[in-house]
Amino acid sequence: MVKAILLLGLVSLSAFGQSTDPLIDRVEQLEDKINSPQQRPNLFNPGITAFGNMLTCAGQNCGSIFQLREVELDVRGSIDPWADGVIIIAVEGHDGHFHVDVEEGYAVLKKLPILDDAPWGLTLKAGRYLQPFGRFNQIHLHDLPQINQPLVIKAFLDDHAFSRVGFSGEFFIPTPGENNSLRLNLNLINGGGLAFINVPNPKYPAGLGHLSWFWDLAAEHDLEVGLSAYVEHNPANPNPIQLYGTDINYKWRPYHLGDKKSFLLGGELFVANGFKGLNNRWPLGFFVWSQYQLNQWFYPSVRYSYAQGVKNELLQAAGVYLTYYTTEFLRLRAGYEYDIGKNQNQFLFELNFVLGSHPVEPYWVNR
Amino acid sequence: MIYLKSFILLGLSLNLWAAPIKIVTTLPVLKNITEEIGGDKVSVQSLADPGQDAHFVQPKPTFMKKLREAKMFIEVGLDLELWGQKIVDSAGNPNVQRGKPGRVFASAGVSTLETPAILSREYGDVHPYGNPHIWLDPVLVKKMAKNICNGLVAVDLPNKAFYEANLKIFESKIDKALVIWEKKAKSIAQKKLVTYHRSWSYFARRFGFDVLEQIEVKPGIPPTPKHRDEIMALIKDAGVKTILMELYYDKTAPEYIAKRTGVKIVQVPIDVGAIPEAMDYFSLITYILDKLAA
Repeated sequence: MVKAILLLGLVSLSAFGQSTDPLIDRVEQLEDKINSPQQRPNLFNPGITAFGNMLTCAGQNCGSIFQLREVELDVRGSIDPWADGVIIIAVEGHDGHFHVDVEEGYAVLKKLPILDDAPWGLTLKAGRYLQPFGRFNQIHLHDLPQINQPLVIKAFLDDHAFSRVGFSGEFFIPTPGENNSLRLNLNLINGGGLAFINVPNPKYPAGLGHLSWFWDLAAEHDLEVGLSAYVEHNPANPNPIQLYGTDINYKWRPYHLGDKKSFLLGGELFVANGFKGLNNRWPLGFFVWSQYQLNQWFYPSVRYSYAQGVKNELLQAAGVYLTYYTTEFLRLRAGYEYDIGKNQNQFLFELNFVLGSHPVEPYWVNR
Repeated sequence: MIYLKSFILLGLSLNLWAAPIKIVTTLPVLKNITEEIGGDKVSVQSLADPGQDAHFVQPKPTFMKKLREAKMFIEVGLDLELWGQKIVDSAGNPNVQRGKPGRVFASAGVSTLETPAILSREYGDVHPYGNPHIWLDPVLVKKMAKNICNGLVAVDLPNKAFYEANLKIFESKIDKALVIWEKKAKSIAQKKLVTYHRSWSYFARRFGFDVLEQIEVKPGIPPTPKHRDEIMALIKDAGVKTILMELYYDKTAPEYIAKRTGVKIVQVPIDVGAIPEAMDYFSLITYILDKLAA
């Protein structure tokens, strides 16, 4: 009604031609006020996203044919002017049994209460979070470019993903030029429990660092090279337990094609040392992968993983995958994985869905 | 007294030599408007490439480095650049956090079109605050420029008069250009359009075009064969002569439709700097209208 009266007023005023009458300005202001987008009523509530991931497996060593692998609840928002919070609860399914895990739960201090400006853009994080050892370990199951985590991550870090309680500080290291950035992430965490050693309980403090150098090679070509290091002092071992890694990722994404084409090539290399009971003192593993986006919907991908010296085994696996997106909220993926070491084949089919306000993915997640 | 005068003169000189304020914008069009208002008092960088779809910009670490040094961050808002907050979160720059004078939403106070009554993904990639492509209406750009001017004044009060004077000049340039643009638009006989995405609502309202349908099934959802056939039937029934679309959308479906209906495809940039003929806001709007008139 009010709007109608205002519009009627405007029409009648306009009838006298273009005017700079303050009354028109006032009416326009009121009209703006009426039509301005209102803030959502749940403004103070956090953003909530639920992810569901279902897997169908045929072949050897599959377990159940149909598996609801994971349901993940992602809750995030501002705590106050100084901090944001993230809580990610994962309900993981295996052979019909489910268990609940806090995959991540942390607060990020985005501004320091004491200093006006944090040196080098320092951001502090405290809680449980996916550790920045390489790139893939930081990617959640529902964002992975393949159906499972690479064998190397499983062999060295964790069967699912390496998440620990601790503190981290991340900052930029000044570098010349605008087209590159160097960031260092340092963590003090509960150590232990890594997949390549048999110390089940995270008990001893450990340090973890990740240095990443990102470079805009050209307008549509990016390269990132990372170095990771993990050191844990465990009294059960004569030497500190050490794990080192490097990760390299290249991305091509032509701007003029919107989100229709892209190419990714990447890999990670892990080397471990300093623990008892292994013949090989320097177990080594790596994986390489690539993904080419054919169009808005289809993303074929390949991956090869290799690890030797972990648990005195030679592990090798290769996989090919084809991903289809209806939108960023629904993904279907077919895959074939061959475990070269065990001579086992698996045919896999994954369905991934997202409910709610999908948080923006990290840069190396393509969709 | 002499010392006092010297001191004042020294202060003024230092002010004159002050380094330009570092500003980062999400889109090139915001960079262009900010440079119009800020003149030589600002140094502006845009994160998105001019030829890029603003919805799908990915938050590169180098963007965070650029924002790290900025005194001001300008975005359209209305949930267009969802990736912007990710960059702010990782930049560790307190100047550009929400609620700070250095964080400017150019769309503040703008009346939006197509605000959804129901927020559901069933309706596609909907924007909860309404259609965010507001810069394609020159009158709304004046409002955006005013918001940017207010932001500049908030972070650099000593140059208030300079920014406000530039705003007046910019508004006057828009008003003058608008007369020419409206005349040009009136001369275009074919007012009925089919567009690829729902980007052109403000442009159409300002210049009297009638957007009958989108080639996308729903916002962000590419066309299905059935929808494509429906569009062809609509084009024939309503006598539509033109499909208007951005440079970065796939032309497969529009070309299929054009081949069977004879409709003309007008593919134009939606942002400043994507092609040499549209390097600022004024040439962008002129270029779009010229292409529609051709």
